Amino acid sequence: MKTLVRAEHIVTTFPVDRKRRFAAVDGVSLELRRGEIVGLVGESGSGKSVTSMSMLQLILPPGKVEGKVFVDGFEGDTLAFGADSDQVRQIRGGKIGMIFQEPMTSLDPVLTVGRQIQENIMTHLHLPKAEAKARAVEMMKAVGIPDPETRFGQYPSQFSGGMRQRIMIAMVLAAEPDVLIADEATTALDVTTQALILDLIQDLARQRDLTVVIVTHNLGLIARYADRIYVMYGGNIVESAEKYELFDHPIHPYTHGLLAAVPRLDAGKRHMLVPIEGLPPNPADLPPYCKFYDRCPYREEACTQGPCALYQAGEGHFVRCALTQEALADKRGRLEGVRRLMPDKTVSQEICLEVKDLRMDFPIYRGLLKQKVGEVHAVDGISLHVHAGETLGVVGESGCGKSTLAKCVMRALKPTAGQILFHGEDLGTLTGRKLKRARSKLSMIFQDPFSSLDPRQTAGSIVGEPLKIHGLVRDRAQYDARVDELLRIVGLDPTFRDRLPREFSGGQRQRLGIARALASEPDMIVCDEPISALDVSIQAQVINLLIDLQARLKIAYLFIAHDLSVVKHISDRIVVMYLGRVVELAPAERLYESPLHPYTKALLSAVPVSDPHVDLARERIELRGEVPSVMDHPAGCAFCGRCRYAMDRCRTEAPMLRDQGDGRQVACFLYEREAGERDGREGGTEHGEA
Amino acid sequence: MVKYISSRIGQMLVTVVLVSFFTYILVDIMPKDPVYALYGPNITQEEYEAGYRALDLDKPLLVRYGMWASKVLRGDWGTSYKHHMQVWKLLAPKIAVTLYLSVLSAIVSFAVGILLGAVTAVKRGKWQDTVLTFLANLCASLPSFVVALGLLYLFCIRSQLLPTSGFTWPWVDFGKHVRQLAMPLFALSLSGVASICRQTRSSMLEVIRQDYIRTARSKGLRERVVIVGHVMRNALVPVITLLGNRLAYFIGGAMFVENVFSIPGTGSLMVQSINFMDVPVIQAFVVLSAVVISLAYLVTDILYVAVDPRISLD
Ligand SMILES: Nc1ncnc2c1ncn2[C@@H]1O[C@H](COP(=O)(O)OP(=O)(O)OP(=O)(O)O)[C@@H](O)[C@H]1O
Ligand code: SF4
Ligand code: SF4
Ligand SMILES: [Mg+2]
Repeated sequence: MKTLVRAEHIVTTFPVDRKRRFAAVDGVSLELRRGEIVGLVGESGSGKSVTSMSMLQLILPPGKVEGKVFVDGFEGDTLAFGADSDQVRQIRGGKIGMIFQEPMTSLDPVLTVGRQIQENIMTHLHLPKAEAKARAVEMMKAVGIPDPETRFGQYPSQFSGGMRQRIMIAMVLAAEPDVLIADEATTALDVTTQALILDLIQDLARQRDLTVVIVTHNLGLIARYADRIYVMYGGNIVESAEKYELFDHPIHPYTHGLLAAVPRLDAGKRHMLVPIEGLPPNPADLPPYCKFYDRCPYREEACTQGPCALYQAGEGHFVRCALTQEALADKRGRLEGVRRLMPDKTVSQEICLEVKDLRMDFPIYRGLLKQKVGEVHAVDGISLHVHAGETLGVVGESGCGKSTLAKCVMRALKPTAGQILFHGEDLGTLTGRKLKRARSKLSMIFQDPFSSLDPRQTAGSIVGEPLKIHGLVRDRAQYDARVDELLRIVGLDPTFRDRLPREFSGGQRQRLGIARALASEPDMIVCDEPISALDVSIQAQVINLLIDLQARLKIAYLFIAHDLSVVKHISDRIVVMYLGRVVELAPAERLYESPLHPYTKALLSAVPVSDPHVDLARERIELRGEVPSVMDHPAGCAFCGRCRYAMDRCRTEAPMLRDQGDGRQVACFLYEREAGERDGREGGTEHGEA
Repeated sequence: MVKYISSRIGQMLVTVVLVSFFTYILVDIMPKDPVYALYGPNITQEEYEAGYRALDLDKPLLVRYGMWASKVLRGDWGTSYKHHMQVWKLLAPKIAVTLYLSVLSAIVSFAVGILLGAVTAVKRGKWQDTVLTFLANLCASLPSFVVALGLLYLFCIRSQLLPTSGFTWPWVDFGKHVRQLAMPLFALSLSGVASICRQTRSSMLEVIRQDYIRTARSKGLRERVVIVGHVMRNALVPVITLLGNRLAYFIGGAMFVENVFSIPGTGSLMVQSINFMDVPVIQAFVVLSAVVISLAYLVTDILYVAVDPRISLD
């Protein structure tokens, strides 16, 4: 295969202060060949984006790029031309196109999308305006935008996130580049949309013999889409190999760490995750030797002797480590004992939280005068319960009402209708001491560990505040002892109690959030996306902590997250939501093994598994269409517009959530008849309105 | 869009009517007797009563307001107590001068301010930025009459380069117009230029950091196209909203500057009228100001919708 781009020893530095600079990318060499899909994987801050932007010279001063970049069709080192030279501008967009992480902010809000696509075509293909427009419309059609002529004249704000990412793809590909760099292009999107977009990129790449670089932190995506992989850590490429080689015979300790730290959809639930110790490095003070040293379980004296060299470990397989392949394999045999089993826990039959026919409507205001034009049913009649000590997972695409449900349970929102019973008492009618008591037994962990803590409060008072609010301690000594204990429970050093939130890392802040939630000895914690803002290696630490705490303290969790693998790993039972309703409810293992509802099936099949063999063997169900908005709720089954089994009946009548026996419930007419028969035989009951 | 504009015009009318009503009540609150004020203190009882009826002072307040308002709508603002002539005839030429001066100054401030702001933003950290930003910070808070006095001293008293006073319309004598207007316009626009420059700079620096600018660069556009076509387009949205605000400010500033350069605008008339309690003139002045300022805000809102597609949608 022909090499299109070759980067040699790129070093990109940014100033730390007036005198010192740090290297965000420290000697990266890579090669992109025609027609292949390359995965660039690593945690946040490992230098993936900076590497891609350095190749295109999109790093702005005071950042500085050194090294060499050779691009097919251009004489010599393109870095030497300078960032605003004609050659580099031809490469940008014309030779190498780039799609960025944030679909919501990556398009110019005041120009029509058509004009932005047209602009790219005119710059690189030198077509007259009318032809450029025709080509733009054609590209919009090719990426699956319905009615492209009308859409051409619309502004980015009129498109959903997934649609905007399609526009970006159309824009980049319209100029016929040879290489497409997708920098976390789908991270901000739902799994279903993510699968659609990446499938689209893959198809287009095959059709046009395009080289694609998928930059991501998600190993599953790499396993599914890439042909060859580069693993980055601390500004270095630590391992690179062809996909199957890398997943079958990973060598570098960091690659091993990553693979063990992420939960897999296809894995059983018996084992705990193996987190990577410590914290992601601060790029401003990386050691001059192996960047992974502090966190590496294999480290020895030899590792500190200077920068590690890259050595070849097999056909096209390169590793950057001071230890040889054999030494690492030998150590692995000794270090890697049995993986820790999940702790035993007891789920009692007692019902801790019960939600009955919950409804939450929000008014919709439109236009500048903010007139009320209608209502959305964000939560549209949900009934569920959580046993004491149990974890109930909630999954669904964005906008399906997961967070609204959580807020109603926490009474941050007053539901429009329905009841929320906590230990059998209606939270809506409780007052005075009873309400206070109920509140102390029900706490919450928030999504964003950066904004959910008061920046001026010390760690100690963040954690101790609920103790005071709920009057749970008698005196200062007891308070201090309890705060220390709470910090210790979540694995933080009690001597940190006088630090401010900004002195903690993301994972540590989330631990503070958990310690605070634990302070009032709750029976239940509502966790709304508790780990989605954290790095992969840190996620595992927090997930393990939550599992251990549950086993020890018998807390029930209502666990909301968009990462289905994580939800499966931690939950006993799972609720699948779609447009404000429950479409399926089942024990976690069974839901993943044999999903019933067409939506659940599609949702699960969209989640990639971080093992290319397994992923290849799984059935793929394409979910047509975008995540619908709650604003235009179809009359019949909410899913009928995207369901491949949709019947006439589905379009007029909404299916009820019905018991299917063995602890599962599903709302779909496909299972109606059998359920009806069973109802007749066993006298089963309907569970609420779906 | 049409609905939005008509509703904004509706709001504007309500504002103007309220302002005019409270202005009208001034007549009642003023310690000055309108009949004596108009006909002089040496009139007989009969003459006084005739005048009283002629001014409709015997009617209830609301009725009087209605009659006054309907006259005003026909252009009749009453007679000036001091100058004994139709208020409109008295005011019209002066308002024209003041409006001319303030609108011109708004145009100059925005054009020059945006240009300099763009230069400072593009040359961020370079000497051009350092110098211009320093000057802008210095000038933004200088009151216009201070600048006016400084100019007067430099160009008239020390060097006699420019005429100290007066105003000539450009179609009467263009050269004279330019010479007479140079200093007042400069004095009036300086702080405007400075603050628009600062506003444009910070707005552009904000926009330059946005993801979509990185996208524009990654398409291989020329830097000039990126700046003009993408950065400026976005950065000017908040700057343009300042227009209404600024216009009101310029009208105020113009009146000071007119006094310094003896320009026959509304400034001196306003001072006289307040000193003399020339109620009809004050009324006309307040109501007309309200109209002009509301119009300025309306124009701003329309511009805002026109430059930012996110707002006009749905
Ligand atoms: N303009 C900049 N100025 C200073 N430091 C920067 C700049 N851009 C990136 N960095 C730093 O360089 C390091 C690598 O960043 P980079 O964005 O490449 O990480 P990444 O691997 O893409 O992470 P993510 O997964 O979060 O996107 C980070 O520590 C980041 O803080
Ligand atoms: S060089 Fe040493 S510390 Fe670094 S990854 Fe290899 S074994 Fe671990
Ligand atoms: S009810 Fe009909 S449309 Fe809805 S999921 Fe079942 S088959 Fe599909
Ligand atoms: Mg990145």
